[in-house]
Amino acid sequence: MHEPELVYHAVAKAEHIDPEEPMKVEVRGTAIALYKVDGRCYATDDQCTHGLASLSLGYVCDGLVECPFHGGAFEIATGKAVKAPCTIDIRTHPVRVDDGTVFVGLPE
Amino acid sequence: MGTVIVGAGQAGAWVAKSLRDCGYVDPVTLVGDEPHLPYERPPLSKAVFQDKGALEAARIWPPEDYASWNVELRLASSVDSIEPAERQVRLADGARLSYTHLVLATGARARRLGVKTDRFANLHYLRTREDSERLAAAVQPHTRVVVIGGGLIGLEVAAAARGRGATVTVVESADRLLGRVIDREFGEYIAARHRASGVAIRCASTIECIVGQERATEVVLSDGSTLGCDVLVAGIGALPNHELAQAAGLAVRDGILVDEFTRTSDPAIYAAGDVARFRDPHTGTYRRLELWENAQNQAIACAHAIAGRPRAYAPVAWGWSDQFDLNLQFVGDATGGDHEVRRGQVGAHRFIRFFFRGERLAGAAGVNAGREIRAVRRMLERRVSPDPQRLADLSVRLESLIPA
Repeated sequence: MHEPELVYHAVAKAEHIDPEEPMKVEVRGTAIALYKVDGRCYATDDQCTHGLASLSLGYVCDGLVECPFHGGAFEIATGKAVKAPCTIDIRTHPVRVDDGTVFVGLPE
Repeated sequence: MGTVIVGAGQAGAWVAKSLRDCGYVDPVTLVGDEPHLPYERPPLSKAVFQDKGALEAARIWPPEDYASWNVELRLASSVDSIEPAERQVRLADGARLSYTHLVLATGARARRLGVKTDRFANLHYLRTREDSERLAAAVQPHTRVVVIGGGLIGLEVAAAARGRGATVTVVESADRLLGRVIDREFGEYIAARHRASGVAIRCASTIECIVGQERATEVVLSDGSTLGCDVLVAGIGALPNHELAQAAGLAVRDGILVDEFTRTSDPAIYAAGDVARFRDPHTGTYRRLELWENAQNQAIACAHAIAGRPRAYAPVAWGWSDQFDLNLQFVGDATGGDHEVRRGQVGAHRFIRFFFRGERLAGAAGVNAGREIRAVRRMLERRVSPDPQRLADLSVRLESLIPA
């Protein structure tokens, strides 16, 4: 199976990402939520898999992001849906931090 | 003999799973009259209009989970009667299931308009997956949809149908929308949002009669005006399915009466979810919560009681409703108070209104303010009533007002 080629896009300064409030960015038409957990940056799709909610408006605690619409939750690092009503995992994107700038990898 | 659960909806499914989480090892049988694996109902009124995959996603757990929990599923199976003296339930197909513990999670059914309206093929109710699929198929661009009932179901259907390009009118008998959930001012805000999207809202209006033979073609309202219709949807409340319990001699009153440990008047029988009218230990009064979170959490409490680890269930009501670009959430009692305070901007469609009874925070309702509502839920659970000025102050994080 051919792995899609990833293109890394600069999206934010790592120091601007608040551990208590994810940041929403848009990359080539896709809304992405950026998180900081224990000093590391992560990225997932911003739109929840359960409804038309923006995860960047959600509540972050203990490495989980809770969707603001219906209270379901995902593990930020893996995207795994861990709390009802969310059952479908959220897509994660690889993150690189280079000289304080956060880059998110998206398929070409 | 184990536990038999009658009702394979959200509550029934959560009782089954939670029993295993509690270390319960006896047999567990989950009996449901629908042919589907347990699914949650909120998506039925919304997502179905947008996404064919949404109904599959409404399924709570995949089939292999029930197998791995050693939970026996008996779907498309109705229960005819409960025999409490024999500790048995009798299924419609003649089978008898013996139980040590019985859970009634039979839910609720949509209230009908009346026997004379049963003939209309284009009259829809919304409770099951089939109802949802049938309604989605019937609503197309320019379909004239008349929604009877301005409650949560009616308004969600109205918004979703309008999103599909249908012509929609909502008819509500009370003089405001969502009167059982939010206060008048909030109801007017919701009505304005619907009108801004082209939904006609007719409050203080009842149906005088419905014209048509096999299909309803016209609705006549109490003021004599008429509405042509292609599709009629009635969202006028739900009736608890407590008949089995009543026939078996259990105490019922608009639902199966249970205590704060979900126990009915029979020591071997429990009830949870939409069907259960439970005692709130804080107030001593009884209520029924037709809410998603109640189906889940009351079921978990039920499993704990059966597994010998009873925990009093004293929920703070919390629910949501997605209509157009609004995520409405309500917590506690949001129908009004003797004073209130607002946080955020109504014009920006991002705000919360807090309701106080004297000094006590009684409830709140908000729009597109999910993270904040989460904090308000914690406040109500902890019975904390912050200073109204601080609740209104956007520079104060609501989480900081909850004691650690």
